[in-house]
Amino acid sequence: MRNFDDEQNRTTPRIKGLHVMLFAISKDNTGPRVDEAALFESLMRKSHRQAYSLAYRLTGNASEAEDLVQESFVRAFRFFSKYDQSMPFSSWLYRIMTNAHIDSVRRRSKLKTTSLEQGGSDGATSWELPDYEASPDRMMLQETLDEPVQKALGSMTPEFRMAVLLADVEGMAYEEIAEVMHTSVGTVRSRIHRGRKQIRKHLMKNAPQAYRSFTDEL
Amino acid sequence: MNCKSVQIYLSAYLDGELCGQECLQVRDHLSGCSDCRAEEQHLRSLKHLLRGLPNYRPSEGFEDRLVSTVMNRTERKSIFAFNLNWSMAAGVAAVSVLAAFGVFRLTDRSMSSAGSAEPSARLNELERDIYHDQMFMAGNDPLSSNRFASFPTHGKN
Repeated sequence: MRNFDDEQNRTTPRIKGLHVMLFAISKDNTGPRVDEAALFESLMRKSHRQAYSLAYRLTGNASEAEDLVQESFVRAFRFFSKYDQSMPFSSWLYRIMTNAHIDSVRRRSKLKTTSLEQGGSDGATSWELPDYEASPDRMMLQETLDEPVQKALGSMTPEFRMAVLLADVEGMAYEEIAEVMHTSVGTVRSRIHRGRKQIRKHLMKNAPQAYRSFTDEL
Repeated sequence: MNCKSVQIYLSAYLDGELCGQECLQVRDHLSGCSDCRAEEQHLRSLKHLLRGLPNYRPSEGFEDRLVSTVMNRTERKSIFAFNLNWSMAAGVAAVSVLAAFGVFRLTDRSMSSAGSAEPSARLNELERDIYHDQMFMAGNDPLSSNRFASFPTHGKN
């Protein structure tokens, strides 16, 4: 498997320089479209995995996650000339993904969630465990709790789900989340707190034993 | 701060998102309230659980499929944008509008002059008829202006 982080570290400075140069050219509308596309492709290749993982958490299955990632990148490319470089590309992409996801949920009016089996419900997706040190028991409990957590996420409103995922899975600061979600820090604070309480309530009801074992492990 | 207001702030407190004063107030309350401490511990565990959830990885070949799909859509858009040269199209449209306006003006002018000729012709015809009548009444041939009638002199020689 490719070491993605190393690759990212190697390419980041070059990409940043290229990025500044291309935007300097493209702002007068005479910039070469082909180079801009090459830059976008590079950013897309770097960020698509993390985007996919978030999309999977948002949608609950591989097929919808792929659709959401694709739709988000298509929209991102369409408005790439408006991308503000002061914002990390991933934050900008998540802003687009948030809107695409909320649009999609509202269109269908009801979010479908599917059961997650180990290694992905449809076999098309695999897990990549976080690399921090954790006891094997705790890792096993986390895997056990993954499905109930995903169901709890699926039962929330898309705004609450996105706020919790950006804070807890992506590790974003509240201000950054507020920027991504186009809302105030106070609203983000409220959504995260209420969202977490909903997840805990769901776990206490649907997986009490595994959840208690997990909390005892800490 | 009472228990209710502290519990609203607990998630932000755990995330390090409270300002100094709020943070101190929550900490003070927690030091003396076992219920709120228990609640804080629950939320802390949940945060650990969510933070440690595994990342999902896309299926094999997704990256290339994604790049291909996004870029193909873009190329189609670019080709459209290139073929339809907007500045040229705008120029052609402007010239067409000007030409149409010019044609309209010319047509309008000729129409108006045609319209004015008709009453003028009618007027000339009327004047001619009146002239002919006057000539006839005066005993002159309206066409040749020769006298065709002689009036009696009543025996004067």
